[in-house]
Amino acid sequence: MYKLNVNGTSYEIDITASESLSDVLRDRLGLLGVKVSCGEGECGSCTVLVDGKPETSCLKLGRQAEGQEITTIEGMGTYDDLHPIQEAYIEEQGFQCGFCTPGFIMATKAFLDSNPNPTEEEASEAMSGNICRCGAHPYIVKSVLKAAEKIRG
Amino acid sequence: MANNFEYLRPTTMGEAVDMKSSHGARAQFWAGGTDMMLQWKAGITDFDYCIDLTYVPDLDQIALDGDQLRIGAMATLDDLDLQSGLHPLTEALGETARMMCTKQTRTLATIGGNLCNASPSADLSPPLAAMGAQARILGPDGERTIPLTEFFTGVRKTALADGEMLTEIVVPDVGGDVAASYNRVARTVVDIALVSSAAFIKLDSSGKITKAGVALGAVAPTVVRVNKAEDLLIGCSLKEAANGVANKAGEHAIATANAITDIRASKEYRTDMTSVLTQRAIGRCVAILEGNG
Repeated sequence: MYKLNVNGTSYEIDITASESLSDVLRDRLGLLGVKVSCGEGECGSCTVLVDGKPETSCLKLGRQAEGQEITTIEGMGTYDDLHPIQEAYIEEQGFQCGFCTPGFIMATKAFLDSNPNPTEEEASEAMSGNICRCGAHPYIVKSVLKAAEKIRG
Repeated sequence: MANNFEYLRPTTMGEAVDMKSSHGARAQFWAGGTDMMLQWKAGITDFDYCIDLTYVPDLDQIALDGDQLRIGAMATLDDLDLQSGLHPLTEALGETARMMCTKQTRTLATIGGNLCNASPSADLSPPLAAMGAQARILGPDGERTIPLTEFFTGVRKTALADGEMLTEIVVPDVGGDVAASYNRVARTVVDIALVSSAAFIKLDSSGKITKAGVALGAVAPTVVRVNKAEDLLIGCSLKEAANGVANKAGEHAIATANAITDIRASKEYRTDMTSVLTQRAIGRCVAILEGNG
């Protein structure tokens, strides 16, 4: 059995050696907010935070993450108590179909933790590791800037 | 292809080497895993034992040690980006790292993994080769150090013998006025290089170039250094390097490159770009050393 710390809870679960972290989070823990799209580390949909850093969970082994602190979209906010980044994405319409949104929000969280007051260009560059097939990118950059504003208070 | 493997987690370098020695070709070191995961899923590589190096301490340091720049094999591309401010050469390497994949993959992908994957178009090989970097290798019979250019022996082939692992990249003699620059052409940011070129320049106290490195990526099975371009640069002033010498260096680069036509670019395009990128890299080094970088 392997011990994984996810969203502040410690889980003891069986993990197959070749199982990716994204599969472990989805299939073993039911955290379906972790989306897998390309499965090759290019689209950013599966982005989660590991010890505060954004990582493509499709390219990491589940067992590699033992002992690390993992945060998924489920650890960000609740329906009744949204995280300011989630509020900003809703207010600025930073999505259309929503499939890529969890990955974008996790990337936004990591980015704003390191740069609380970004320029539009910095926000745009920081979101370049995620792909939105609906093409909401301009609204996503606005969402990031709005979220920064909200967090700064 | 086996549909699973055994996961091993060494906690010291010695233990990692012992595991690799005892399982031989059936074992594979696993660094960040960003290349390995895809190769394993695609059945390109097959192994029974995965030796995860994530928990081996002291392999991920990036530091100046006297006049050496030392980069641990398990330092990530993101670490390289974050250490940009450490030294003029980490500035160039950080800029190179930011050209590679995406932020959320750079936090996983390691420098050692990128080099051991030995792709002809690997972005870190040209700048490190131009800087004269060395590869430190640990094996069952102890440690050895070889020039990075000798570390690569072919497409996806390295000089690592059975049981050996890459532990560190060492760039010697980084004191004084030095600069480096890496330039490439690629279709998109996340795409791999079609052609790339890196330059490294070191000045003596009189402002003449005392050491130079020019290295090309993606134009041969391994990274290649353009010795004739380097010889041409040595002894020049920065002004001379920028005016005329860079151009000739570009011609030498074309002669060294063994550009081919494939699905991604033609031989002619690659040849032209080899010269353009080499001139750009030298020009950038000059600008940095003149204080206009």
